[in-house]
Amino acid sequence: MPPWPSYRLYAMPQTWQAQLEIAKAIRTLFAQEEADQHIQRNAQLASVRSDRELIADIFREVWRELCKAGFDPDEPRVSAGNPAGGQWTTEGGTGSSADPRIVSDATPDNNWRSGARYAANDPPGIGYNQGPPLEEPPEIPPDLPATKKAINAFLKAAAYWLADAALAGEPIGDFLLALQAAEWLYEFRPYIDAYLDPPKTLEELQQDALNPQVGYNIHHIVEQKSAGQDGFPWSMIDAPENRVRIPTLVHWEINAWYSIPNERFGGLSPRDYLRGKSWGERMRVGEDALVMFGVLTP
Amino acid sequence: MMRGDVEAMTVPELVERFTSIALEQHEALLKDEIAKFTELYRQMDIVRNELKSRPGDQRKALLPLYDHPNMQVRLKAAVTTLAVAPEPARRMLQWIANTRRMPQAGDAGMLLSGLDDGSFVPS
Repeated sequence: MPPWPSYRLYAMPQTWQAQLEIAKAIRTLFAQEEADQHIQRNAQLASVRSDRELIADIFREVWRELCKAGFDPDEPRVSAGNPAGGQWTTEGGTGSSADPRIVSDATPDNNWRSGARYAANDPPGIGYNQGPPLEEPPEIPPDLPATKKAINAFLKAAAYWLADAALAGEPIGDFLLALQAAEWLYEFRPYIDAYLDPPKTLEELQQDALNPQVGYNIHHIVEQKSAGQDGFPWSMIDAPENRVRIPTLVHWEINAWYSIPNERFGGLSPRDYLRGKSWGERMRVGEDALVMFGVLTP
Repeated sequence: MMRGDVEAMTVPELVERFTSIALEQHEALLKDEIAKFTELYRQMDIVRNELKSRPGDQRKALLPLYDHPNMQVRLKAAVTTLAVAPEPARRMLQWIANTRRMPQAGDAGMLLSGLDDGSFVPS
């Protein structure tokens, strides 16, 4: 099996140009000396750590800096930890977009030529600024969206855009600043932090299931509902071997993936494909999904 | 959309329709609109089959979509052209997988895995 891509890297840039954009945004927003230290530390980290770990660290540092800038994690709100129900109880914040005073000084060096028919013969290389033209970033809701679906849609759209911007070598600082202005996003810090976890071994994920935490869901590798409908006993479905703790956002993604038609399964959804299949086949597909979505080490 | 709706279309019109369906799929994925995505998948199958039935198997007319800025369009173009342009299509799938951009990168990786182990044979 080829190495599976990790979906979670799409939440953050994979190129040094883009990562430096983050650092520049931080530097403009906050104390310059501190940001310089971050850049130096990230450069040191880059030489010894994987991209995934590095990007996760950078993202966490961004969040820490945002907190320093005035976000108050103790501000009263209800249903903390519930992405659908978390609501600030006080009015505040502008909910506006990026501060117009802060402008990225990065020079885009994307040499992609619109209309050039190169991809069919020689797909553009990742990280070489030859990606497709960048679409507009998603509009950031000024307030917490009313439904989980809407929240999920925005988080995914934002993550996709950040990934595409990184691929294109385009500046992302302004968009990060706009995200910073949307106070409701702070509620989702545990979910985003969890989303950036590096992949773990199956044993680690199973062990984590014994320790539920905000930002994560207990996920059944073999889907519990369809397995139950096909007669597998609950003792098997809910056994520790079948329970893993994974980031909530990934849990949502995998559930959606199980539901939609897929050429790989002859046009059936994975869920329909698995009807009547053995436990072993269900486990194989379930583990493949965990690898595919970047939570399980290949 | 029914099969009869596409029979009168030209190849460029079918390519345009294919693209718009893929873009709608992208939106449906973002919004977790499963039923809508499933319907769009069915509609795309109608367009794919129509292109395949045209003289010379006109699925190759989708090759320029490898350049499309939207990842879902690229993924669907690559999957659909596997039978008519296997090497470029495979390279495109590998490129998508390498982007790590989910969910398309995951689908691409799984398709490559299926091609490698023979469990997925494009037709």
